[in-house]
Amino acid sequence: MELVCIVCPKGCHMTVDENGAVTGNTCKKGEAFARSEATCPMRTVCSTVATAFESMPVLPVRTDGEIPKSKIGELMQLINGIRVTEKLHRGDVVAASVVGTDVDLIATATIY
Amino acid sequence: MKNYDVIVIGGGPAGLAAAESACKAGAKTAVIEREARLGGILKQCVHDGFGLIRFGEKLAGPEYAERYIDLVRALPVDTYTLTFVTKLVKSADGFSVTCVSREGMLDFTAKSVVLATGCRERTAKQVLIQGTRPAGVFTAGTAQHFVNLMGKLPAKKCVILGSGDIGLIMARRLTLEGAEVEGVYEVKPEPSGLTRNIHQCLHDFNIPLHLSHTVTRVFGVDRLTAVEVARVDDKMKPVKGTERIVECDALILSVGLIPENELAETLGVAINPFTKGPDCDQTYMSSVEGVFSAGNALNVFDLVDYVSECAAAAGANAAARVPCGECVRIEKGKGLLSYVPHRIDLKKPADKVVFFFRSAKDMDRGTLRMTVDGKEVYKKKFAFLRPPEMQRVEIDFSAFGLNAKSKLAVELEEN
Repeated sequence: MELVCIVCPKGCHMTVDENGAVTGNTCKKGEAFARSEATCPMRTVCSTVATAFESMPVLPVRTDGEIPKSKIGELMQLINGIRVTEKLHRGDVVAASVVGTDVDLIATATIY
Repeated sequence: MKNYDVIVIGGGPAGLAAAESACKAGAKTAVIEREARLGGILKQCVHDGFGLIRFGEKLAGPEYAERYIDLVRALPVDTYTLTFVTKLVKSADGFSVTCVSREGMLDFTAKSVVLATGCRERTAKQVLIQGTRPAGVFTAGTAQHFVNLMGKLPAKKCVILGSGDIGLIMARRLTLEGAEVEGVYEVKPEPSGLTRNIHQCLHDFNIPLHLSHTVTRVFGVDRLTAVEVARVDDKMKPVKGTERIVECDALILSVGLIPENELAETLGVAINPFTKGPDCDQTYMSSVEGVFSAGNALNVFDLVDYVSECAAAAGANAAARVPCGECVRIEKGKGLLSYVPHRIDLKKPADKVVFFFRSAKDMDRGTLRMTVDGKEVYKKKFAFLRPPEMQRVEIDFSAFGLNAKSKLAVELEEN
């Protein structure tokens, strides 16, 4: 399997063979990414959730770890149903343990 | 009238990093920002990938911005928001800065200024699209503002013209929010954005990328109803008979960024033809003494981490006010699209100069070479060079034995 690394902006072109051996990577993170991509691709998801505050109608959020790529749709459904009513701070948990993982959805900005 | 050592114009990532380092270097520093909040464009860049170099973490744009805002707020830096600079004039011992704000006119003086005014997106008028003028033609940044700051979805079904990074990021973002992205059309035979964005934004969501294609017409009276797309030949001219009509309610443009330098130009700052930002020396000082340039106003970067790095240096240099001497230009040879800095000031430290460059075309392997009077003084090999991906390298120019008559040249050879 041939793939392009998305871990950093370098974008290394890598190959994974049937035995899971990775070539073309220039760092360990790339090797781990290639293996995971060949078995269960994972992604960090960034989006926004609605708020009750006129000054900031949406709050940016992200998963604080990776979730299976196949669960992005399910996560977006959850995200679309959230409305924040507290003045959350950057890093605060917006939704804990999302889509059956131990990954939290966290605020990436502070509501002002 | 308030007097400062350093005034930074622009409160985005470049302005914040410049202010932080100017203040830490002992300068009485102010930041002037026209928007209500500091943070610049990062406020609406809710995707992640920022900060890997600067903080060793993968952050979303607003997180990166807030970290810098916190750093600046912890220092005695004056910040003026909703304040717009209307006039910047050189005076006997520095600059006078006139602004409008909610309080009315504000007048400041500064010994040096850092222009961290960012860049602008090219618009439909600049890419010569024919047809009517309906609503629904946006730049990618405008669409991003709607979705990520206002919480409004500006399209049900859209076409994206240009494969710049913001367009790719918006293709993913609009798809996640439930809009249909019919395709991304790029007039050049190669994508303009980072390779990783082609993969994580388009391939992950099965969004087609049509290379060597462009939008030739728009249709619609009040609102966009369709666009005409066509294949282009190797001279980027549309090929007759390849036209296709795509029904859509929005056309999103990601067709390039232009450094914003209106203020710089009023001071007579020389603009470099390749970066479209101020021509600068190794301290990021422009052709006008005391005027420094940082971030995307200097040169459109693809990584904010490098914006912060260059701006921090510009801020520290603006505070230090090292006297200027004679400069040796770095003459542009083959293989390079653009680079920063453009000249070496012989009186200023030149031992650890960060040299940012872009290749003129895709190269699997390339050698960056510097020559002085035709003799090679530096060479370094690079792999996977692509014009959208800026390279960074530290070069010791003080070892080149430069004098005012030296002919310094740089080139990038494919091998």
